[in-house]
Amino acid sequence: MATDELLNQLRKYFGHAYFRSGQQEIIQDVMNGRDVLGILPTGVGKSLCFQLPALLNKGVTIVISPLISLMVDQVKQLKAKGFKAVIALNSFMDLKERSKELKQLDKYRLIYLSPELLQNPRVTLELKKLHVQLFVVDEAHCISQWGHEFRTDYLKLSQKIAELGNPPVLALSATATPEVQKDIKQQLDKPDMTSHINQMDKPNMSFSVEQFLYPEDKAKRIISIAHQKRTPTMIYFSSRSAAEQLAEELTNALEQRVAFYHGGMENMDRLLVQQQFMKDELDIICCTSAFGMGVDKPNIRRVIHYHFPAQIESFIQEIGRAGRDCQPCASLVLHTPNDQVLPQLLLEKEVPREEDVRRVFSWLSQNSKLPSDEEMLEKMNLSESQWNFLKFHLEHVQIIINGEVRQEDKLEAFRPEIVKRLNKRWKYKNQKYKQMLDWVLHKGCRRDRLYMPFQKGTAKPVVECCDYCGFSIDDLDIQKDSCNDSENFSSWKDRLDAVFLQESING
Amino acid sequence: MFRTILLKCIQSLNGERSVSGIFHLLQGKRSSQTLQDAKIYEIDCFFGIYPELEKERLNDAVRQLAKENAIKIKEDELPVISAKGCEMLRASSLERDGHFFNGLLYHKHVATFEKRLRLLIQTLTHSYMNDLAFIPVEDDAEIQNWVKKIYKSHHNEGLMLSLHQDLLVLLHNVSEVEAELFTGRLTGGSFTGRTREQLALSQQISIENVDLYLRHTFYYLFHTVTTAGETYKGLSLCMDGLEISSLITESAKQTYQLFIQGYSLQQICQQRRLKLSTIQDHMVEAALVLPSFDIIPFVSLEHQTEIIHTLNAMNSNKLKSLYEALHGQFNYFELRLVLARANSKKQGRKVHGY
Repeated sequence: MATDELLNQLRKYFGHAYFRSGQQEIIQDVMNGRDVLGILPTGVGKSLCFQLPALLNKGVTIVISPLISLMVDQVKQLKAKGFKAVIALNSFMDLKERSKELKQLDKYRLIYLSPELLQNPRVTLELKKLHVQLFVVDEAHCISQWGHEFRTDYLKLSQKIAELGNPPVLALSATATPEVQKDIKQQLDKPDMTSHINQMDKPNMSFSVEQFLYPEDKAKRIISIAHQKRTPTMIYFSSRSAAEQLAEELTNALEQRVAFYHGGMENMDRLLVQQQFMKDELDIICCTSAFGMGVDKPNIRRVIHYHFPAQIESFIQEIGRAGRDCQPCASLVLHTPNDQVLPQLLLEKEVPREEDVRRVFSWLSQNSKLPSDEEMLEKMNLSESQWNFLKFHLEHVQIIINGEVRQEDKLEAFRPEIVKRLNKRWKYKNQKYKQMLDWVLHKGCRRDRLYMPFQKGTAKPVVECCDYCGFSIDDLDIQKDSCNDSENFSSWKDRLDAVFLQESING
Repeated sequence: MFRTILLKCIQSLNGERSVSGIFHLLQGKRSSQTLQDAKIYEIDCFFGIYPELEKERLNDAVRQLAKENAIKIKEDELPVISAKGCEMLRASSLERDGHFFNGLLYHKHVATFEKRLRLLIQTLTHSYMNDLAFIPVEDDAEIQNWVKKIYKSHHNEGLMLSLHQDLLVLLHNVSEVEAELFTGRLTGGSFTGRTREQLALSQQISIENVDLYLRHTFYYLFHTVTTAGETYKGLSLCMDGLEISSLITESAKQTYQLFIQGYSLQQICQQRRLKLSTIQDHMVEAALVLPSFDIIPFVSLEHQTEIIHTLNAMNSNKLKSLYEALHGQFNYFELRLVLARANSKKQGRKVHGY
């Protein structure tokens, strides 16, 4: 399709006059039926790369996405834009609704699916009846054991792609090292994929890390920073209660609008906080990693990490939410020596330990049928990702087939093997964590160091570079106050009038 | 308000039911035990008014009341109200001014009414601003379809204005706090609703009180529109199709219909493939809410009088005590039927509202 025509469609459906860097090349190749691997930095609009083709294609576009909340958000946003032929199928839908939707899949042009659901035979059957014109693997790094969020269900994708008649594949990720990129092509069985790798660094972002002795110092520091200038700010935490606590502390200490956001909140409140932040009705949001997926707010100026994440990939994704308007923005990590404990605990929940393996294997040797995954977690006292890890490997060597234990005599022989793999995974996770920690403690240019594992070199920043190069977040150049101050009513009547637009009607 | 409602429940339950019983009541658990307790102890107005309630928060509040000596926890873990608690309750606005909660009958309807109203306000005001690209505050597909339907058929400025007018008038009749919370939670025009935490902080009250004040305002609106119907054109639209059916569970309704067609309980068991005890539960439910249901085929009028007489002399609502007091002359099913009927009559006479 000609460039002009693509631009026309872009304007018509998405209201943008131009593509952001990297999008057009990918879309053009996709429209020409090529298999494409696209690496685009967070915030550049990865999803447009398949949403626009989905609108233009006659056939169906299937999108595999690992995060239900992300799917649901995207569907909501597309519907708000007027694109209604879109659906997110996931295991949280109630069965009645899911089976109703499965019967009428031909109504849709864009179908989001979780990788688990794609394995469901009934779903495959219905999908086979459709003309699939594009198969998208979002967050494609999940397919690689060397990706930071390995998902076992992603490994079975290539087989499903073949079953659907080998439609063109578009694999997308924001953070994939060259090693992971190679692995993606291999696992998808598409060695000849066209790669479009974009640089990940943001020339409008400055970096800094500040060291403290005690956690209380972090709160004090955040208050002093926020006090200097009111501007959209995100503060990341790895625990829900810490996010809630600091939100309360900031509310009391500052004349600013603060809220917290995490996965444990009631649905409507979550939506409201997100909307408030989008509409500049909030200045500071204290959140966990649950916040931010699909939040496309252009004017976030500061991303502060009260806790830093367990791997550089997550960190890059989180800071990628700042400065989408290309104005100056900054990342600040607050660090105390005690911060090492929490990620270690979280890591332990992710990978099974040797004693977990022993417990599960002994149970398997005495039982022939597996209960549901939830029951198994409960029974064996495992986290979801621990059980997924074990189950995947047991299925792979066919000790477990279709939820039944076969060849239990092989169990003992397999144990050393799985322990070996598990230790390897442990080691990998620890390496990832160490890489992140090394960056936090790094004595050198932070920009260079951060992107080193992913690409060669970085562009020359248009703002100050990092604390090593002389930057402090106190120097962040914030142009204008973008806070919407209207939410200040003297009484409920005023607010009611405002909600019902009474001023605009009368005045 | 949360604490007052707990005190009221504890007082009414008379030390005969546990904190879990209160939890199930407020959450609206549809078990026959919960439903019957609600009726028998006359706290059915609170049934299902707080489905979001967390068990832990309830336990905290009960502990706090015990600490303040407003209640006592007996050895068998059952709470009873103290003299101080009774005093607190008497002084509360809930007791003084009354309230509009009517959970057993309306909790489902009020929930629907609430969601419709929120989404309708958002939709109408956004469309007035020519901005139909908004993220709906309600995810529920049924609610969204309803609003779409209404929007298509009533899409003009009139509906928005009459909703505004209705709310402006009616919110004057609720407390200042309730009006603040209600309007603060609304999303519409260029404003996003506040979260429960934000509202709690700005009004300096607990999350539970935010939830219950909000819920109570919706019950008030619902009640007013049910009784004064056409006066409030905008709001009464949100009642569209919410018929006031008195039988609570669909299943009980089916059983009762078979019964009035002349089937015996045994036959109904076979036909519906349900246990006798379940069918009996359904009959008791019917006795609770259907004034037209005559229980004489099960218990004669004479026996009914005898049972009520014994009950009144006992100062307890415990079924077991009643059974023993009557020396096992009647089975539990018969007793429950009579109790249900007695309570249903009492309810019928009670005048509702402020």
